[in-house]
Amino acid sequence: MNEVVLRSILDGVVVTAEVVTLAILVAAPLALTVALARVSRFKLVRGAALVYVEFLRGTSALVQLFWVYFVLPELGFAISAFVAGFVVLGVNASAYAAEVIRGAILAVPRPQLEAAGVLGLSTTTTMSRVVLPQAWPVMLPALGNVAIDVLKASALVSLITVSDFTREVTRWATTGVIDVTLAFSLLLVGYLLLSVPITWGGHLLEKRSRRHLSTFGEG
Amino acid sequence: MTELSGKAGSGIAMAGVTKQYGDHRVLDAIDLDVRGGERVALIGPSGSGKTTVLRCIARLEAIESGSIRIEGHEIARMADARSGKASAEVAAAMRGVGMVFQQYNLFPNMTVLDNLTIAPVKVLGVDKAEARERAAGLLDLVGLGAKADAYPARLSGGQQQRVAIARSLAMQPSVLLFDEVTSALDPELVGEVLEVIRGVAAQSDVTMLIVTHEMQFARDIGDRVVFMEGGSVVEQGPPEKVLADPENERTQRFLRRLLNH
Repeated sequence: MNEVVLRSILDGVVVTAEVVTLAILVAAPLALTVALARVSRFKLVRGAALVYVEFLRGTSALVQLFWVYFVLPELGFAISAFVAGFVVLGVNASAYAAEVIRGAILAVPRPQLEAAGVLGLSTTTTMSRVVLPQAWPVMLPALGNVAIDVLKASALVSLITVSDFTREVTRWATTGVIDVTLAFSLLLVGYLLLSVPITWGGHLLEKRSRRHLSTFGEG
Repeated sequence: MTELSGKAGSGIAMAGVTKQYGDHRVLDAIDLDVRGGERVALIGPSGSGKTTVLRCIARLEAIESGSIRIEGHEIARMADARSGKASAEVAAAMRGVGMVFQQYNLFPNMTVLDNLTIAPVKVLGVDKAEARERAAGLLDLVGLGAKADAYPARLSGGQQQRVAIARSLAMQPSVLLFDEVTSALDPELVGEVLEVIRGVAAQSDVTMLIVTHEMQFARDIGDRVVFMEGGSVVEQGPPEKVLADPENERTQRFLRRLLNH
């Protein structure tokens, strides 16, 4: 494998890492907002959030990607492949993450809400100081899964011309520069290695988030 | 006592309160008055509606009909109301009501000190430093001054319950509701919690409505004992009268069963 090939593949890895990071940054605030909307007192807000979640979960990420990249320009909104890539991946993931966050919010024991209510804490204070901090360790493992799904789904952006890890490797494989077996084995191992920091970071956050909740362990 | 500025108000007035869960009538047009500064022990068999009385006063439950007044303000949450959210007037009246739960319900994600300061700071707008100082005083009062920076999970049940009492006092309530606060505790930890409640009672004018299974405690602390069964008040009066020489046959049966237990 010559230096040009290696360089382009490493560039692809960087692009993949960028797409995934940006997608997660897009997904996080959206997911939190939609999750809060899903547990809102107002029916209309809950309904809108449900439509958002079900629409995104019910249509494939690939089709969403194609639609944004190929249809939006027809409607007069030109968008670069890179931006379309991370935005669609992020919005798509936000639907799944919102459901995870919602589940974790609902898992906070009701007496905690009653204690907050009797103390007179507002809905906002109760959510930000009591509910979300307790929901956080509950949602982390499943959010880690969503993040890894984003990584794996990021290979889709290669289909709208983004020069990510997958596109660069397959480019050299289809032109016969590198062996097909080597190419796809490289992808297999490459994505696995890329998932390691996500898994590791998730575990670290989880451990940290639980440190005050158990009777034993570090104070 | 500087930590406890218990203001004696006009207390609690429940009139004709009915509460249903489906077809089951938990409270049956119950009348119950607690004068400002009075300590009332509420006793009765399980399922008699004692806890529901407290939960209705704390607005944790909506009622079908009747009236609940705190210091003269109508605060009942009605089942047919369009929203469960309190109006500004009701919220203001409820600021004077504290509740201590059977399961403590401390916030596990906060230190003991933060458990005590969050409501004064966020709800009453008390300055943070002042809230911490007051909280430290209250922790001393319940004998846990050294635990300010501990997290609840590190405390025993008895300690957690004492913190919960201090947390409710931090809001300077005029009415305190105690919901079987020793029922979840190991027997050897019951005493320390009851001792704290006795101390609070001795050092303040706070109105107290105490649901308890501890008859000796009910006798010691209560200006009055109220016996409930089937969602209404069966008998009430001075502790020595109701507990030692009850008139009503149902009260007699309940106390006999306790003694033979």
